Amino acid sequence: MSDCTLIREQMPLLLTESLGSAGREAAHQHIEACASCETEWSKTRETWKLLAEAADRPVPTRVRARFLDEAASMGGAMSRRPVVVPFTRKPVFRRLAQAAAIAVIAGGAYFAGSTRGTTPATGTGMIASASPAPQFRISENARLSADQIAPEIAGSPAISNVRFIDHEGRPGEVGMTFDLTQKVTVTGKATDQSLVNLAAYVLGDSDHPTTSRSNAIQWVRDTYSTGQTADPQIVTALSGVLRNDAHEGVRLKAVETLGSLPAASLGGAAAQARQALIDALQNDPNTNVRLKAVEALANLAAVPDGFDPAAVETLRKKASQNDENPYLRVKAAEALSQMNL
Amino acid sequence: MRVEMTEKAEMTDLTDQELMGLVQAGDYSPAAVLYDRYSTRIYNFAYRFLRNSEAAEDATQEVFVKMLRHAHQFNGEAKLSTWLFSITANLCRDHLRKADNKAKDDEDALLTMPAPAEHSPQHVLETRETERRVREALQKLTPEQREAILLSRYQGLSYAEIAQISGCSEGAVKTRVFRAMETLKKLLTDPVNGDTRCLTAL
Amino acid sequence: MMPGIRHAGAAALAIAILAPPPVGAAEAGKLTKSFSEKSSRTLDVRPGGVLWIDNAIGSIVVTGGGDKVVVETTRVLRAVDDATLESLKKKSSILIEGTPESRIVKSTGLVSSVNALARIDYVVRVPASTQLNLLSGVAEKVRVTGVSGKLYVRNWRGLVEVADATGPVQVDTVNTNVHVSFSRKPVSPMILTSVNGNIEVRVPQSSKFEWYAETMKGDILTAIPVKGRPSERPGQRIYHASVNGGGGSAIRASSITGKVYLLPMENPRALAASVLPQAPQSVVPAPKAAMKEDVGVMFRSVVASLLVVPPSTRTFEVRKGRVAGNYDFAATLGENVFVGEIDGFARIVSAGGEVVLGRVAGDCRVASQGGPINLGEVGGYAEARTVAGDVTVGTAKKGGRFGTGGGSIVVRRSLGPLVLETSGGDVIVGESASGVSAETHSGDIRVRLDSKGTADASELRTGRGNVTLEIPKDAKMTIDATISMSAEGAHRFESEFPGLTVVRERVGDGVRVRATGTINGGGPQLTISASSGNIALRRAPDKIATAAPAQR
Repeated sequence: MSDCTLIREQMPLLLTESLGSAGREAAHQHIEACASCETEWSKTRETWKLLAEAADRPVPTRVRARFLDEAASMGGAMSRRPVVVPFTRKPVFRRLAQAAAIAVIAGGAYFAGSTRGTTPATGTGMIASASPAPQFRISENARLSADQIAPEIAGSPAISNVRFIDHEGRPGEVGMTFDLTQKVTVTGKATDQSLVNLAAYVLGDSDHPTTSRSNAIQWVRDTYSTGQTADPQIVTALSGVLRNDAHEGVRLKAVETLGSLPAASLGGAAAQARQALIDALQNDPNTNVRLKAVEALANLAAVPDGFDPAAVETLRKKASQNDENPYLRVKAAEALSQMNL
Repeated sequence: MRVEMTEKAEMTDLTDQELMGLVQAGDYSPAAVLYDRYSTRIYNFAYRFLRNSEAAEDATQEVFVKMLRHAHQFNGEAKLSTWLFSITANLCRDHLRKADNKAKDDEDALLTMPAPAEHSPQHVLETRETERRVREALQKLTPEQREAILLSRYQGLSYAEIAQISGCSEGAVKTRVFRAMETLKKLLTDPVNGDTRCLTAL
Repeated sequence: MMPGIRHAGAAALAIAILAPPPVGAAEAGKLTKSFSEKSSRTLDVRPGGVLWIDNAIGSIVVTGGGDKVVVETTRVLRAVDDATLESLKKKSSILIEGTPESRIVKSTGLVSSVNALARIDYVVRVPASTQLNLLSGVAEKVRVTGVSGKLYVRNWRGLVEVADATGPVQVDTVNTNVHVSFSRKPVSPMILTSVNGNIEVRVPQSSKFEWYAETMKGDILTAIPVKGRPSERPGQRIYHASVNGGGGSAIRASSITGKVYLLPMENPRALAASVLPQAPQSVVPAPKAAMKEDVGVMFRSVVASLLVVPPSTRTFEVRKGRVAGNYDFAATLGENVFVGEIDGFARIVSAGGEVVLGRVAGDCRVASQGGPINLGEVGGYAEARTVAGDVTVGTAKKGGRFGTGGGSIVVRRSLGPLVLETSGGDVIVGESASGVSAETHSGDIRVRLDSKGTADASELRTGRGNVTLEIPKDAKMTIDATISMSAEGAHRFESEFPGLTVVRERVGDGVRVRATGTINGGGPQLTISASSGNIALRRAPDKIATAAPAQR
């Protein structure tokens, strides 16, 4: 019996794995053999598991603000810069080389087309318009055989990181590989797949600390908010920006753009846009991003079948959330009152 | 004096000890980073301890203010978390001593707790209900037992660390955790006490 | 209010009473094909067990009493054509799941659109001790009477009525009026929330309990003599009273934009008076709400109980044409503030709302918990800060300091020094005759300085974004511009002024671009930095058009 008492006292230690291996072994042996201890053990484990059900609550944001205010008044040197709240990043796109890396086999001319069997581009082949037979591919790596390349090199392109290689397995052939930075201009209709893909890529390319992303958002907005259609791919890319970009200014543009797209034309992508906005409304640390998410959700709900229970519930909770920004709470209430529930 | 964006970004890469070194030198710019690292743990420890969200908020703020004010007392050999929990535990004990801290669960918070859309309403409400029962059960423990079980279960601290924070021996910690578990087991797994699982958060 | 309007309002409401609008967006007129079907079943639920009803569209009426759970349902389908009707028949159904401990009844395939309507109405009898969880979307009514188990109701639009519940009650709603009544004094705690609906609790006059009521844009009213304590949080009004000495259970009611009532059983609502301190005199409800208030008293109780249209959001506003003298106002309820002209200084603290001031002769200080700030012309020094929202300023004659926790800052013209800070958003200065210090964590900065503006030092900083500065061609300045984290070739420093030294150096993965030197012989320091972005230094057009924002 005293054995049982000892074992029971050790149960919490078993749970935290803070018992030595010998003790652990002995305890488990006893538990397996002793019915009443086995019952106790399973209850202990269940209790331990239940305790974890009381999940962590988020700390109300006002605590942080109060603390930082007080810290600032305490006289230590504080940064003047607004405090940057890191926003969870989930990199979607892997790092890509910033210039197309092109391997040219057996010398030859300079060209970046890679579609086998197409006519080599001329010097003006840099400008490609969307045509039925694409001649130009934008890619991270292009591997070309010399006869695919026009012999002339146009202009003075920047070639770097040059290496000379043997061609694998084919005697007599040589090759060179290099990074190429070139200026490419693509024109076409806003609905051309190549342009849509390019825009989506630039939006989603989180690895390049370039401003092209915020410029791209502006362009997407100018292009698609007034039009009749917005490609679902654009919605996906904007949702990605809204979730992942560490910069509130960029997220702000993304959320505004999502809200300005013609809701009726989004089709299945509307659900995706709504989910991204709901996530932003729940989690974005920047009040203005959340505020714009409220407006954008209201906009998406204003079309037939735009009704989404999850959006209604999120807005309802935001309106009732005591530690949320009061202006935002009222805006959420207004959005709900205008919704065609 | 301006902190460059690049330095700001790197500050999150510094260790606790390095950041506290800055604070000890009178530079409070790591305050936000340290807060972001530990506030959730500190706040939830205090909230579960006191079951009073206002008091938990005050305690959280106080802990970090003390961290800055008494930075020189921080001895780089201990873990920063251990030191912060010591401060928190002290504040919570003080609070219990001073105020007749009627456990005050703010229903407001219950109303606004996030309910992930992917879960069925049943699941969500059952989770809420379990949470309520757990929080209530924790209040039935003595403060010492509660402190021990919170640090062990929710903060994953070793008995040695808990002993340091609670100012007692490891043996005492062991006893407190055991007794806490016995009580919780009765409250949470016995059908008699496991009151009917209604799903409203009341 | 004009009698004509009153009549029109009353007439419209009378129609609403006679023919409650169909649930959802569907217009009954177009849906000529219809189908309806009744069914009834008895469910196995243990005494004290939980019954769930999850019904997106349609009423739910539950009555406590008896010893069995009996669920009667009416499925109502309407469609524009037969094919649609057939598909509604196939899709809509009732699922029953769970165990006797926790029984779940779930409607599926309900819709409300231009072409189709599928709803299910529930009439349910349960043993009084049954615990209920009613998840309702749109319902003309959800009514529960005579139950003693715990009760949870969720609804988005319609009316929720609870009568004589003796167990704990929680009701969460959106555009829904909530009526709870007790013929005997309440004994259990209760939480009632609505976003845009009214909440009404009726109790016997002598009941003892703790009453907590909250609203942001609505009102708190009672016809029971209570002594309580109003308090305020930003944008929010809270009232707590120990009714008849208090003790007992707590009744909490909160509506963001609607009214919260506490009434004796028999009294008409019209006798209830607000417990809140008189709102500032200048606060007037927006016209929509005013019309609603204008409905004749005799209609009120009928209307409110039948009306399923959500009450409109009451946005409080302060509107003033001209203030002769100073204007010092705390918009603690989050009122929108619109003032045309202020002859003296202006000081406005807002708990969250729009602030628009046309012309302020003196100094101007605006601090807002959230919402845009728009200032036309400020004669004195100007300061405006908002937690979230854009700050727009026409002319700041003595310059100023503007900030937002997220949003853009636009100053069209400034004659004094400017300090501008946003944690995310663009900063645009159309023209400044003094130095500018601008900082954004992420966003573009576009600033134009005139010849006086270049006589001061300026500092422009962005994390992620472009900086464009326009200065007169003969401006004398000393430049230090840095792009600190450029990927190779991704960002450029461009200058239309000769004489700067541009150094590119590799730092870690990227390149730092730094341009230094003097233009036109040098002068005040001009510091520009972009963590990643382009920097462009341009010549302003010879004739600067006043009040025109700088273009990219």
